[in-house]
Amino acid sequence: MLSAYIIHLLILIGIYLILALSLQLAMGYSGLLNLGHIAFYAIGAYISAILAINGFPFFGCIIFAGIGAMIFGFLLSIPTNKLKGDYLALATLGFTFVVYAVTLNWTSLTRGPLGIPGIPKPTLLGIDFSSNLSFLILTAIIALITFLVIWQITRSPFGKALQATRDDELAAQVLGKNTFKLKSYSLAISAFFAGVAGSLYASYITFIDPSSFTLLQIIPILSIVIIGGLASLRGTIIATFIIILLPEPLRFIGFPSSIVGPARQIIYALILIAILIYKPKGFFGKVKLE
Amino acid sequence: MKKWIWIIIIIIALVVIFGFWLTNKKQNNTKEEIKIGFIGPLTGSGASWGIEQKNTLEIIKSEINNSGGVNGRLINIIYEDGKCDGKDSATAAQKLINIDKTKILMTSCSSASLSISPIAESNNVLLFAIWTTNPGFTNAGNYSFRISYSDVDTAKTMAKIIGEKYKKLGVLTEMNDYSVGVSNAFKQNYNGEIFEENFSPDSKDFKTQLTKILSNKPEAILLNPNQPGAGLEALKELRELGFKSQIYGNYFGSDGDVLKSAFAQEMVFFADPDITNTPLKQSLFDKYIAIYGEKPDFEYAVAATYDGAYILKQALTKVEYDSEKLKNYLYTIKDFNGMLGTYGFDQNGDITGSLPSAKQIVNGEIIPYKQN
Repeated sequence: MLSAYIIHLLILIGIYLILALSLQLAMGYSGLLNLGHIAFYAIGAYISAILAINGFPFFGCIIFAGIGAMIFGFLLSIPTNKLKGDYLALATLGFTFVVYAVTLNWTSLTRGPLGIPGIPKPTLLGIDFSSNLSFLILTAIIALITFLVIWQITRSPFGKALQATRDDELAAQVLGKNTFKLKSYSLAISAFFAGVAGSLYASYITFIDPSSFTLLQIIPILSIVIIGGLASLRGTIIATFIIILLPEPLRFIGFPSSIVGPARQIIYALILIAILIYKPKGFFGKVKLE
Repeated sequence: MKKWIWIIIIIIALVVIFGFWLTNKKQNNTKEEIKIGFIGPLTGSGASWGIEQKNTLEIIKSEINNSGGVNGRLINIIYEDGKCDGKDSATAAQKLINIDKTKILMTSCSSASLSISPIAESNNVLLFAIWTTNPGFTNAGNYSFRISYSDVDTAKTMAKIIGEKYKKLGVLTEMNDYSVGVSNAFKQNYNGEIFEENFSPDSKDFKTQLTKILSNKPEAILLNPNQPGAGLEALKELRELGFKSQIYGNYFGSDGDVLKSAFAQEMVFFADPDITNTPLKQSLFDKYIAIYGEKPDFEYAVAATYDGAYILKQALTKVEYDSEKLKNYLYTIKDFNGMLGTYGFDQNGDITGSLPSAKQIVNGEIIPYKQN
């Protein structure tokens, strides 16, 4: 019933929602300015794609994608645990480049720059998700689960402790909280969902290559988190819709063909700037990152 | 809490209504037009050739429409920016197929073509890839055609010509889909010893890799970059390191700066298929210069776009605007006479009869290469 174009956009929204919500957990709730989020997304996508190509069932692919990313998230948290703010951003940025370089150069595993084409569409519990509508339902369910899990985490004592660590790490330590552990867990959970999103992306687009996961790809996700407002899940949801859908109506304005590409991007950027001028903390932002 | 749920519902509702409105509107008012979607890199680093392809299509569109269209129907080309990115290209394809109801898509980069082909396949839409050399595209599907050689073709030509003369070869490859595709196929077809080193796309200095290659004492060297600038730098460093024997290169030898360089003289390179100086080419390029004020840099992309559009026109003239019939007709084309020569399509939708050729740089000029 729905136009396939709208379905496609909603699937993208679902995938980005998972990514943005998980980044919100690390950035908004734990105060970890993590620019390595796209690397977890890439790890998930590659694990899922390689397993799926080798005949693994989709359920296994998506779980292993999440767990694989989670392990890397935990590992990344060990050396970066003492870093804060800009320094953490730089270290995690480096992680993105490392993962990019690995996907590019480990050609025997990832096929390097040629990418992995023909990734099979998922089947789960005997249901075939190869049509876009069924894939949308699958994505929506996973996005909903992600939302519920992260929502519960933020309301739990663990979530409160995370927010305490974000606001004043020293005070949290004085009160007996192991902030090292808290931050590691937060990053690992965040990475898990990014990996799941990567798995969905790989099986939906059916082709991945290292250029799908460059540093530039973090910008839309970061924009969602910032425009939605830090530490606000509803803001994240609304911002996801805005960021993904905003460029679409611009396709129909009917620019002359000589400026069709750049004009869309200019208008898109202007709207984003306007939002941040009128809402500097984002729509529902509660905190400011130091 | 309630407020934001309403906001989301309103946004979704607006998008859905907007989508339906567009779907219905477009169906009603443009029955007469033949719509062709073009998804290419209109912004970003690929824009340098994407825009030239778009310009070429604009010229062809006015040529066809001014002479009365195809069987009386005008053509309309809708441009979308795919940025050579899988996700953006897939979104653009969904929009063109479902909203504009186009039955023909033209694409440019390999990453775009490969992510669009499953969408085209499941919607029975014809996918016409203009400059897609990734070997993986051969098996992309029934509706997927390409007006481009595959990297495998380039590699086979290289392996044959180099293999006849040298059995111990050093290869310097950039880590990018074009160069790696060439290198993989080359290794399968070359009959001799290979010492290969890689460099990442943003490297500016290759002395480490070249020194390592030279320590194996290769008889000749093949430079396999993706950007002419990198190739030129490697040539220079290779001569500075004292390498005297034959150097081979991939397409980058045809770049203007490389031609002029003293380090590149006598280099043999494997170019895009010949675009001979026919009156057809002359008239297209004259028109291009008259409208856009400069000569296009990517001759092959422009010529392939031109051929692609005219193959489509021929097909549309013979059969109607129906992707199934168009597809079946395209498989029967065996001797289309275009700017890239005379060629047709094989059972995989790859072209036959337009192969890369060997050239040599002598005194700043490109001459056809003859093995002695």
